Amino acid sequence: MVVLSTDRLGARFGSRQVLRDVTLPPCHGGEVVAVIGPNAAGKSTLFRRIAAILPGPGDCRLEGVHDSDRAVAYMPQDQTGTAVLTVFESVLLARKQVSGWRLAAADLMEVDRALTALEIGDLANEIISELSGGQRQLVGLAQCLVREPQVLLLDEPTSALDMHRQLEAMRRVRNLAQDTGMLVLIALHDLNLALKFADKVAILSGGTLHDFGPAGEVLTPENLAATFRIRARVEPCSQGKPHLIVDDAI
Amino acid sequence: MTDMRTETVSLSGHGAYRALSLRRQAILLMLTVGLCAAFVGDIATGPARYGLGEVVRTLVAPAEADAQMRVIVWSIRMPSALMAMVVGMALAIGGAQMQTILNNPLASPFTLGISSGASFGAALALAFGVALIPMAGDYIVAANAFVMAMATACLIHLASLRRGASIQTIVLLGIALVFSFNTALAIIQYFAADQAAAAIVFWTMGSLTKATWPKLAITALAVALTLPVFLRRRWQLTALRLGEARAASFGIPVRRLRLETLILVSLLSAIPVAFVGTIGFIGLVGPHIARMMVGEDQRFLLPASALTGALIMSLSSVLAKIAVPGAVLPIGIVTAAIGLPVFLYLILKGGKEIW
Repeated sequence: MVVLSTDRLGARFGSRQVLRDVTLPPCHGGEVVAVIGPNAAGKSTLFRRIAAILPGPGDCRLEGVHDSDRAVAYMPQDQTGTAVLTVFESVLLARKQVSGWRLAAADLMEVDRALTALEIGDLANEIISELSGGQRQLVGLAQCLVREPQVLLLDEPTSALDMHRQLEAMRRVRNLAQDTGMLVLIALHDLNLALKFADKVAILSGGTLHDFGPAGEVLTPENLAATFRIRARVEPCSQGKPHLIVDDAI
Repeated sequence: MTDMRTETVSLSGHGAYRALSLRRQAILLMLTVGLCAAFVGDIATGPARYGLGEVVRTLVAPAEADAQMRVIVWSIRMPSALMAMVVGMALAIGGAQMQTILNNPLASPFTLGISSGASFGAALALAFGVALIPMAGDYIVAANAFVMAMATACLIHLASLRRGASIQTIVLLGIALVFSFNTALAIIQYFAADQAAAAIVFWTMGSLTKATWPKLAITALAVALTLPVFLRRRWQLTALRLGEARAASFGIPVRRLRLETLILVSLLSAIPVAFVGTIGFIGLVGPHIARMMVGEDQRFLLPASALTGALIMSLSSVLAKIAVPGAVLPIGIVTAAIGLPVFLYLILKGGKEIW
């Protein structure tokens, strides 16, 4: 099983330090870890450091990895583009970055499988630049899945989805982690989604790790006040499940 | 693109993809056939016109052909006809890759100042006999054009290496370079002797009459060396069109890929311009037409761009010889005359689908 941890991870854009000494405790395959925090907290930067796209100080340790080239897949926030490519082609492109330069029948089958898993097989022949924001996010997710990663980094993958699709997408991610043993780190703005679907939550604020642990223990009024500057509480809803209620901004 | 989609929508996933690939292969085949026909037509036209059948017979069995026709076909017209094809290929491939790496539909050797730089270099030689490469001998004009084209490309490379340099910065720098070189060219023409000024004007219009076997061999070598490199990186280059963030998320070293491609593209653009002068619009229009036919996948886009560029150049060469009886127009005028309306049409009619 894959285990990811970081040791004093940092990043800098010019003279601005955007990530500082982020040490994540071991996160295990099969878990969903929500990374939350206010705007410019360093969530995307943390993902880019883990995906080795950005240079910087500190270490990212991965244990139990089968193939280091395809171990980590990162889905960025930005899903715009003007390419004249079909959905099938764009997912195939993601696959071909890790599966050699010759096109094999297995590549095509994997693309089919990824699209079917996300129930977007009917979009296969659509031009990617003509899709809605939500559809593009699902295609972005398919581009990650087709690479068969062990660690999946999803940067706000539900931001353009309607409420039904948000819940559907999160449920799929949750099942994916449980069924395949994949570790999923997911940046979220909706704290109730984090509360509902995440095993653990990492709160980032000002480029540092503010708190890390099970969702119920981390999403406290004190933490939310200190990082998000909101007055909020977690209470059981009518069905007895924990629900975050935001009273006001501080 | 819409037709392509409705045609394949009934098929699922990879079945539709295979059908699309077959359709694209058929398009490449048709372009190849069209290019062969244009090539034969190019050789058939000139001061003495021949039938297509005669030309084909002379090409296939030169020993059996009439001696005069053999000399005209093989020694006089063949180098310029082949040069038209190879230059078209080089410029269109260069344009396609510039548009890919800069993610800008207006990028081409012509719009980024590489052709203008070459013209400036050539003008220095034609007007004042300045040799940027000592001992260039008979190749002084071509050598100067090549040096200035590569210097322009290097300037663009250096700008792209600056921290915070965006793609827009590079494109705007290219436009600034075009204006700067055009101004310098105008100054040279103003001070040059009448004969030299006329030579500069003729050079900047582009002409295939300068084609020789050695020049053809060098240009073909540039295409032969760079095309396999691009094809080898086809998946990475295609992924660039998804945007920098997503390409990087696939593990592609975007900056390095962009820089290395720009270097190869500069070489591919500088060599033909150095030998045949400024030929505009091929590097711009060729890839756009190819993209409309086969999409962005570089496995098809690269050969389609090469074939489309070669086809436009061959047809332009034919037009240059038959448009005005008794005269051969500079091919740069013809490519501009064909390319500009096609480009405007693409912008007005197909722009949304292309970009």
